[in-house]
Amino acid sequence: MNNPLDSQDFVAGALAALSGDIEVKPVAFGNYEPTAFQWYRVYDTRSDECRVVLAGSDDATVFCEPCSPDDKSDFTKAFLKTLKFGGGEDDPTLWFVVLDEGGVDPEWIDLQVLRPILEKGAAELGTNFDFDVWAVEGVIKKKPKTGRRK
Amino acid sequence: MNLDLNNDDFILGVFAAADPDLEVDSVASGSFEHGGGSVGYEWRLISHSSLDARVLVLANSEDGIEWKGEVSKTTPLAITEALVAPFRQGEMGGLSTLACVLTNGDAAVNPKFVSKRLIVRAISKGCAILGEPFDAKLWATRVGFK
Repeated sequence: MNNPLDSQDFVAGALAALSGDIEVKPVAFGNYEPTAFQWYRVYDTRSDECRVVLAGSDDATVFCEPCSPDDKSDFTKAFLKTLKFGGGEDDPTLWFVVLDEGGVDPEWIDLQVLRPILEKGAAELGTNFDFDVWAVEGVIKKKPKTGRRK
Repeated sequence: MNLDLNNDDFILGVFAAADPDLEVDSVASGSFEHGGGSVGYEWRLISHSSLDARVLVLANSEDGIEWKGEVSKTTPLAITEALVAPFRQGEMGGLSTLACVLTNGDAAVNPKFVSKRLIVRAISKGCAILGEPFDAKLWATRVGFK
């Protein structure tokens, strides 16, 4: 395994997070067997820059998308650009598979933007899916795990 | 500090901050007066327990990381040798620069990680180069040594 401490950028990132200059908040989680995914809002408090970051449990998958730090709709659009493997971005089937047993934080993810994508994905797979049930029965209420991805 | 959200390594470092394997300890700090302003400096020891790896980082309050070097062991001697080395070798100015930073009024040293004997010797040399008096006993008490 490469020693991450060899990278000055890695070290700078760790120090920035510890100092509070960079804020990290989990905003969604899901999985695409065997890889678990976590999405984070990574915000630079000094420059007001923000990214949606997708991190995979395989430690190899990291995708960042620039986004607005406070516009939920823009943030959600950036979120929907992060799945860039397999069927590519904007693939409703892929989003449905990944988020079916996952969850999103409605504070950051615009459910009205997400709804048609998941419903379309479920329809393409011929699966019965009720977005409102998905939303109400724990999935969205169940906050993404906090702490570091493993 | 320069923060680069477009850099994958930087982002991985951000996440690693929450990793219990990664420990960050303050080793020493001080400041350097120049041109009417003051730049703060801090040495931090960053250890990755599961990789048995550690580095000492010198960061300043303006541009971020100025220097980074491997530390062979977690003993005060090894850490202090790593701290002094770039100044002794001229990589970070000379020992006079180290002396300026660590004798400033806001300087602090973590005695858990710094060898008093080694750091006093380095600062004494630096002060001698500057032609400044250095009261080692007084300095040691002020920065945190017993």
